[in-house]
Amino acid sequence: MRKIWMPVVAIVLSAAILLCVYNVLYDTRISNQQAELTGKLRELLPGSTEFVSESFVSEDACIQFVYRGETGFVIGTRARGYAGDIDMLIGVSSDGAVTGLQIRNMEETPGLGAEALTNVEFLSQLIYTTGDVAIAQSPTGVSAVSGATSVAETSGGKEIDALTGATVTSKAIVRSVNSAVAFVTGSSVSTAATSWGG
Amino acid sequence: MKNRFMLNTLLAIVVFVLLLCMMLLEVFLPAIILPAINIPLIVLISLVALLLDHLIAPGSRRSYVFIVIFSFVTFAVLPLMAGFACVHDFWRYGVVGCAVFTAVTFLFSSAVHRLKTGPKARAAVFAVAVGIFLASQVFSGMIL
Repeated sequence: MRKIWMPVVAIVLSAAILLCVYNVLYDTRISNQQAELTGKLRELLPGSTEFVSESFVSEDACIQFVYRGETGFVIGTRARGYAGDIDMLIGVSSDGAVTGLQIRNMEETPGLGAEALTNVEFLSQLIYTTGDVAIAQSPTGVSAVSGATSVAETSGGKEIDALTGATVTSKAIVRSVNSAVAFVTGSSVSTAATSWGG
Repeated sequence: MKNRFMLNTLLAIVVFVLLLCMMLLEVFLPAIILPAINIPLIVLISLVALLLDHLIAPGSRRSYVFIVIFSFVTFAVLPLMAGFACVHDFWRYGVVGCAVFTAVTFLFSSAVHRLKTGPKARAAVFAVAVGIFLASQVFSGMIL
C-alpha cells in the first residue's frame, strides 16, 4: 500500500501538464486552425480570396456552416456514415457546380470507408456535378469503384460508382454534396442516395 | 520490482503521452484527422500499458479494486484536461474506459499466466496482446 502514491502522482502530474500545455497553446491552435481553414476555402473555391461566414436558415440538418466567397460558397456539412459522422467542406460556385470537396473528419472502417479520404477516382466523380447525384445501381446491385471509374449519365441526374465495400460511406458523401448544391441553388435535396442500403 | 500499482502508473503515463501527441498534432497540423477516442483505441492503450507492465514487473499481482478506481480517474480526467472531452463526457469516458481496461486486464493476465515460461514466452505475450486487439475490433464492429 505504500506505493499507492505512484499512480496518484502520475495522474495528477499528467493532468497538470496537459492542462498547462492546452492553455499555453490555445491561441496558437486557434490561429493555426483559422489559417488552415482560410487556405482550404481558397483551394475549394478557385477565384475567391476573401470569405465571410454567413448566417443561414436551412431545414437540411446536413448543413453545418456556410462561407460566402466572391465566386460562390463553401458549405460545411455533416452526414451520418457507417461508423460515425462524416464532416466535409464542399465548394459550390454561384451557378451551382461543385468546385471542390474535402473530407475533414470521419471514423469509417480502415481499408473500406476510410478509403474515401484518398480515393481520387471516387471523389473526382463529384467535381463539376450540379446536384441530384446518386450511386449507380447495376442489375446485380451497387456498382463499385475499385480501380477504373465508370460513370453513367441518366436523365435528370448523374449516377456515380460507390467505393468498393463502402456503400454507406459513399451515400453519405453524395448526400452531403447534394445538400450543399441544393442549398446554393435552392432546389430540393435528392433522396436517391440517402437511404441505408437502398 | 513487483508492484501492484505499477500497471495503473503505466496506464496514466501511456494515456498522457498519447494525449500530448494528439494535442501537439492538433495545434501544428490542424488538417490532420486524429483517431477517435473509442473502444479499439482504449483497448490499444490498455494493451500497451499491460505489455510495459509485463516487461518491467512480470508476474505482478493485480488489485482489481484499485485498477477500477484508478482507470476510471485516468480515462475521465486526462481527456478532459487535454481538451478532447467536455464535462458531459466525464462519466461516459470514465465508465467505458474503466470497464474496457478492467476487462482487457483480466483477459490479458489470465492468458499470460497460462503461458509456459521460457525463451518463447515474450513473443507469446505479444501474440496474446495482438489477438485481444483484433478481437476487440471485431467486437466493437458488432456492437456499433
